Amino acid sequence: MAGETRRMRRTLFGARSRIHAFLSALGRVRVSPAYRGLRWTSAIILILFLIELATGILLSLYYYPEPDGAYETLRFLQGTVSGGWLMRSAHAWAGELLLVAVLLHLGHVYFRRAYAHPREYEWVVGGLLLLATLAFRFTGRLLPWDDLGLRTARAGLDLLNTVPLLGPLLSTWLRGGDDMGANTLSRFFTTHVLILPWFVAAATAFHFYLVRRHGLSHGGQAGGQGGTA
Amino acid sequence: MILLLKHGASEGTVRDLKDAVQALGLSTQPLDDGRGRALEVVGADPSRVLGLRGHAAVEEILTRRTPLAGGEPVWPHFTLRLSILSLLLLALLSILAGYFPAGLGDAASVTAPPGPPAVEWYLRPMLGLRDLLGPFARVATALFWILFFAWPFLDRRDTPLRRMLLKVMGGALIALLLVLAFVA
Repeated sequence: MAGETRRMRRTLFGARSRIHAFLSALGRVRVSPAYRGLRWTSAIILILFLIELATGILLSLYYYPEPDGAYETLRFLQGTVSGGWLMRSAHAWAGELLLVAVLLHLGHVYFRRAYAHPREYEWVVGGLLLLATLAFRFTGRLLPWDDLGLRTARAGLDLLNTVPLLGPLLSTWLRGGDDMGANTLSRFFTTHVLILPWFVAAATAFHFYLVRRHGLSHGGQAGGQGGTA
Repeated sequence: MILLLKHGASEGTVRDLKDAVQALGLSTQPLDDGRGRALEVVGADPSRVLGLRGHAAVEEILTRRTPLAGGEPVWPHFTLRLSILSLLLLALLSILAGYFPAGLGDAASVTAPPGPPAVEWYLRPMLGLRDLLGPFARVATALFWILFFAWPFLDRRDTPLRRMLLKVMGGALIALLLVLAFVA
C-alpha cells in the first residue's frame, strides 16, 4: 500500500515536472514587442483554424457523405441534435471570418513589404495557405448537398477551368466524372476533411518555423529579431 | 543593470539587498521580467552593484537590458492574451451563429435542370474578371498567380518611390477586386 502511494507520488511528480519543464521552456521563448496591431490577425487565423477543426470534428460525427444521406443528416443535426445548429453555424461563420482574417493578414504583409528578403518563402507559403482557405470554403459549401450548394459548386468548378494547367485537372478530379453526383460529394468531403486539414497544418507549421527563424519584419528591412516571433 | 531575484528570496533579504544598493548611492525600481521578480538599478555608475553578486537574494546580475526587452514570454503572458482572444472570438461566433444561423436550402437533385449559378462572395472577383476579359481570362489568371507568388523575388529594392508605387498598386488591385465583386 505504502509502495503504491510512493509510486503514485513519483508518477504525479514526474508528470508535474514535465509540465513544469515545458512551461519553463515556453517562458524562455519571447514574443517580439513588434507583435501588435494587424499582426494579431495571425493569432486570429490560428485560433479560428482550431475552432474550425473542433467544430468540424463534431459535425463529422453525424455527417454521412452520400447524396441520399448528407442532406438528411444535416437536417437531423439542425433540428434534433442538441446544439447541432450552433455547431454548424459556428463552423460556417468561423470559415467566413477565417477567410477575412487571411486576406487582412495578406494585405498587411503586402503593404508593410514584410515579404522582403529573407522572407520570400513566408509569402509563398502564405499564398498557398490563402488558396487552401479558399478551397476549404468552396469544398465545404457542397457538403450539405442542398440546391444552393450544388449551384455554387457548379459555378466554382466552371471557374476553376479557367485556371491554366492545374485548373481543368483539379476540376475533373473534384467532379469525379462527367456529371456531379455521389463521386463529387465523396471527393469534396475527402478534400475538405482529410487533404486540406493536413496540408494546412503542415504549411502553417512551416510558415511558423520560418517566422520564428527570421523574426518579425520591421517594414521590409533586412534581418530581424531571430528567436522572437 | 538588472538584479534578478531568487525565486525563494524572502522579503527580508530583498529589503536587505535594497538597503545595500542604497548604501552604494544607487536606487532600485521594480521591473517585470516575465519570469519572476527583478530590480532595475538606477543612478550614476550602476555597475557598482556587481559587488553584490554573492548576496542571498540575488540570482543573477544582468548588465544589459536587452534580454528583458526582447518581448513578453509565451508563458504565461502571451498565452493569457491568446486565451482572452479565443474567448472573444468564441463569443463573436456565438452571437453571429445565434442571429444569423447557417441555413439549409432544398435538397439538391442532380437530375433536375440546373438553376442559375450561385457564386459566393470570395469567388465573385474571379468571375467578374473572367466575364470582363473573355478569351484572355485564362492568360490573365495565369499571369496574376505567377506574379503573386514571384512578387517577393521581383521586388528587391526598397525606395520611397517604390513604396508609394506599391501602395498605389495594392490600392488599385483592391478597388478593382471590389468593383468586380459587387458590380460584375
